[in-house]
Amino acid sequence: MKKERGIFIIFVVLCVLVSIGNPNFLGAANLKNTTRLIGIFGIFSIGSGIVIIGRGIDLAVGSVFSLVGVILSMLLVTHHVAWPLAILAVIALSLLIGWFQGTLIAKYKIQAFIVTLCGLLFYRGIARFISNDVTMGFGDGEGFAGVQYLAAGNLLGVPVPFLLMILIAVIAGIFLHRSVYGRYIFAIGRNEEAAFFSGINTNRMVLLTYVISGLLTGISGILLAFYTNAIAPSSHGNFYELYGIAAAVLGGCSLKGGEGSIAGIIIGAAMLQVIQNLVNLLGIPSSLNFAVMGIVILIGVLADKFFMGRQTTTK
Amino acid sequence: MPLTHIPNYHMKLSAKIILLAALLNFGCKRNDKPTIAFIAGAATDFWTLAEKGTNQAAKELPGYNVIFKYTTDGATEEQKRVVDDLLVNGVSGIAIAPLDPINQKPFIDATAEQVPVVITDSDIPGSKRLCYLGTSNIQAGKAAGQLIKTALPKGGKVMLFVGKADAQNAKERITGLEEELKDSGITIVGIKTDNIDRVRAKANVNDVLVSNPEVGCFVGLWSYNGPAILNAVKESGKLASVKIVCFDEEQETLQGVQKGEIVGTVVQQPYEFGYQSVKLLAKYISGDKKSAPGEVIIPATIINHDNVEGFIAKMKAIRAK
Amino acid sequence: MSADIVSGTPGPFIRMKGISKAFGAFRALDDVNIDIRPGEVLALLGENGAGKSTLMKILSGIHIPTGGEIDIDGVKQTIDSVKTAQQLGIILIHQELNLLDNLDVAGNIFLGREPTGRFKLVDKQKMYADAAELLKLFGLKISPQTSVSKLSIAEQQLIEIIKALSQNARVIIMDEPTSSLTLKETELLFGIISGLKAKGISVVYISHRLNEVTQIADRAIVLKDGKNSGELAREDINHDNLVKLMIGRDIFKAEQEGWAYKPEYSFEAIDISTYRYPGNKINLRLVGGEILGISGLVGAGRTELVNTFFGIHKPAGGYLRLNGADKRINTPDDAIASGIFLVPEDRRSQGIIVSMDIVQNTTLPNLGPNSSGGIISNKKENEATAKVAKELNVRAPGLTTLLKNLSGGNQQKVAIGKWLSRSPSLLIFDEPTRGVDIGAKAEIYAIMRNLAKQGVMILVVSSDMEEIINISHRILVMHEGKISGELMPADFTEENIMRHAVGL
Repeated sequence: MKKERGIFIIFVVLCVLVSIGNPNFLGAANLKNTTRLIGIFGIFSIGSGIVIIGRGIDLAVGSVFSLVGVILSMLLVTHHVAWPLAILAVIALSLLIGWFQGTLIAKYKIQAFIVTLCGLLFYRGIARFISNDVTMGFGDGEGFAGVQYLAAGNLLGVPVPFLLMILIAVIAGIFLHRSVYGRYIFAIGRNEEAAFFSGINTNRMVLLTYVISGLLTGISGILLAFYTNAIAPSSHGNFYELYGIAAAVLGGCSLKGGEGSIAGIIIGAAMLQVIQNLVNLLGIPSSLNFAVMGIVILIGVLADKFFMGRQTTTK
Repeated sequence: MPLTHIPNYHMKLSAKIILLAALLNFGCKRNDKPTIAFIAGAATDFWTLAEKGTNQAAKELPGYNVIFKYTTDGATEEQKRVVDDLLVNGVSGIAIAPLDPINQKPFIDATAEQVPVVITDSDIPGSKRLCYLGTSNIQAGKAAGQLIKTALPKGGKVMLFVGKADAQNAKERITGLEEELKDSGITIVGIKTDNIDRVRAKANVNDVLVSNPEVGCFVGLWSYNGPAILNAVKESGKLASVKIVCFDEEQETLQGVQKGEIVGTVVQQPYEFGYQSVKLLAKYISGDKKSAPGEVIIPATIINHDNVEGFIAKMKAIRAK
Repeated sequence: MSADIVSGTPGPFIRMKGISKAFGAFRALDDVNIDIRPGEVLALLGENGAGKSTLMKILSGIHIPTGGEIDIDGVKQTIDSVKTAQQLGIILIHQELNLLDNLDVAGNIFLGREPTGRFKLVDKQKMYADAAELLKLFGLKISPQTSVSKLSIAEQQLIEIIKALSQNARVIIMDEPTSSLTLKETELLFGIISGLKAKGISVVYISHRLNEVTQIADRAIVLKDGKNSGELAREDINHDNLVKLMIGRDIFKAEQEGWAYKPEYSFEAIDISTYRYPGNKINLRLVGGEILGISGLVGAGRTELVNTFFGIHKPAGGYLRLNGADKRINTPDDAIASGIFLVPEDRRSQGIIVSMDIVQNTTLPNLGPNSSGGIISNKKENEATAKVAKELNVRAPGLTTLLKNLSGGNQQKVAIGKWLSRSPSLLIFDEPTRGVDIGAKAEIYAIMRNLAKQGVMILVVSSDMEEIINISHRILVMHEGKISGELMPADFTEENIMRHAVGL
């Protein structure tokens, strides 16, 4: 598991450079802001990464955010449902979406790209339709301040989403790297047929990766909804699936499957947020935001290739 | 025998086409009544309010069909497709909010040769439009400038937040702001863009709070920038030291004004855009071709702590329609 | 020993002199000399890794040598691309065939050289006519419009040869051409090779199968560890001499002692039919300690049958009985739970995961006992793997070596090893030594015999006649989805097997 070392070094170098450029980077306020975003983005990136390790892809994430946000707002604000129930309902919905996509992919052997691309279009459409395309908000949060705390609050000075991500990362790390199921997912990512010939129920495992992705997307979706406090159904979470995929790839996942680690994915997700933070802190024009991100991802992947190359030759 | 099959097949095909056409007509509710279409931008609150206005106009004009269409941000080709479809279906008049006013001029001119066109939101000067109906965004920018002056009476620094800085209305609002703030001791230190991503919009505010602590006033140029600024500033506990000025009438913005957390917001009246465009087109189509003015300016209004209650009540009434 | 020592009547037209080739620090070839004469069949032999394929890849322009030179017709040539080699009349037919599945037979034969008519359009009529003529020449009853994907591997191979001939080849290099051919197809190939000789075309024949070499080669050159090991003229080519030059010991001399069967263990297939031949019911039975061979032509339904035993496909009908109890086996999971294991036919895509290490491959089906509460114990799995690796003599730098860095033989040992820690009842081997070098072959046979001695039932599917005759206690022959014959050791001859295999 030395693969993520390369990306980690780049990440540290990047942080050092930014803090030299603007010492406020390491100030409490900025650390809080950035780690909060890392938490929100890190959680669903873990799901995207696990799917990618199992040789799949989940393109529907951004649209699920929109749907989860809209439904959450409708339940809490329009229908005054108690917040624990509302949370349970949207988590159940995102699990169901994961299960549905996973079943089409694993059991009916439809390509993951196609299934989740259709999902991307479908969920967004549903979100816009049920909201009449009107921006849905949470207003002052009367009656559900408790759940808003999850997204906006701090515990011992650390943003709650970040703590939540650490907790999920630890569980996911044990699951993926230490458990029998994790080994199966890696085996499937590398050679699904051989995994099947070894007695692994490959359909069930592939389905499981999408259900996990659905669950983590749901959790991130709730945090994201309370982070913006308003959901514009047509634009909320647009393209966010790409943040998850980019974080996974930066963190050492191969789109060909069977490669990657939770630690790498977290570093990748953190890196994407720090890049956007540095654009503002270093006074780089906002218009260059995506350009900087593209370059850093490319450098990260190249460095990863370099480190991997060294690893195999020294072996 | 293949020869007998060919016409047979064509008959089936033509029958299908007729059926399809019938369905389409039904879908468009086309009958003998003339149709007026309003083509808006992306589905934001702003345009939903405009839709309420068109609905009201439709209620008052039983002799007309009124269609309201949203289009995707930046997708000028989508607007063209929507208009082409409408023309094919024999629309009688079109009101449109051009997404890219400078480059859409030829398209608007071509449309205006077939049906009367009212341009709303962002004008295209010199085009063959019948009329422009909307706010002057320069004037709206100036109004925001007045709010900033009251917020920073001793001068200071201002940061602007917007989705896309190159959008026409953003450019005009900035021009208005600059004109109003000239020689006032207030300087605009920068513009942060977010590509219409609310998460980024809020993160941008957080970043500026860290990187530019000298900024005394945060200005949100697009509707969602107001709530994004308010939330970020509130969460960082700097509400006391930072002034907020914004545009448009998102619910959270109005609540902020009510509580005194936001100095004020400059509102356009999208409801009027929708209502008056349809009324104006209907009047023109019905034969009154002379009374059409070249320009109808719906004034931008400043909403501050003094008049916010009344405005909220008015909005509630509109939304309830 | 130099290549020039044996002199034949027509002088060589290709000489490869002092050829060396290094891949990084690894010297694949070291000062190798060979010559090729017009119209001869030159056998090139050696264990895996001896450098045969590398040498021929140099001749055919795939690799560039790090030293030495190649003379053709006495002129020094630099062969730096496959195209140059083709222009010089040197054609390599790969072990993995290179036909395009989506083109038909004629399209493949004339790929890149399609005859054109007016407007530079492909003259399909001429292309199909030419292809038909070539196919007829080789006695192939295939239409030139047939899609290549519908052909058997043997037929595809013949198409490759036809393609080579239509490019005016002077020397055709065949790398393990018979590895997936049946006996009949092999004989067809040998007939074609004789025809090539008669036309003055040389054939370089790379093979592991010594009896084939003794049958057709005019001369044999043996490589060992990247160097010339020796050369044999036609009259000296025999099994003993070849093996001596290759490894210096004889592999098939296994002790033939009495076998003790354990009838208390048994496996029965009762009226089993497979998805491929749903109408054909198959019945077979074997007992503990028995090695049952299944022979037959490619497409006879052997792999489908054993895959059904292992639950890869659900049986179309019938049921299985293990040690007297009926078993419902619908997934590999069911089979594994019953102690029925399969070492599959296609090792690299089914048997192992090449990008995982020895431990991960070995324990993949055994994570249950190597974990607690779902969490894998690295200590347990390392110990279990070390035990199996030692038992099977897996040669590797370490247990964390990735499978792709192992030889075919060692990969196969891992594919077998993953079942050994689970005390198998029935172990099925499908083409157990395909692409495995001769030394490892012997070890794999020893493993199979050992397991049988311990009372395990062994089922072997193989297209290699020599193998199935040598290893089996009893042979079933399949033909078009049915068992067409059963042979006892006294009747084990290639002729008998073939007779049943073709359904006579």
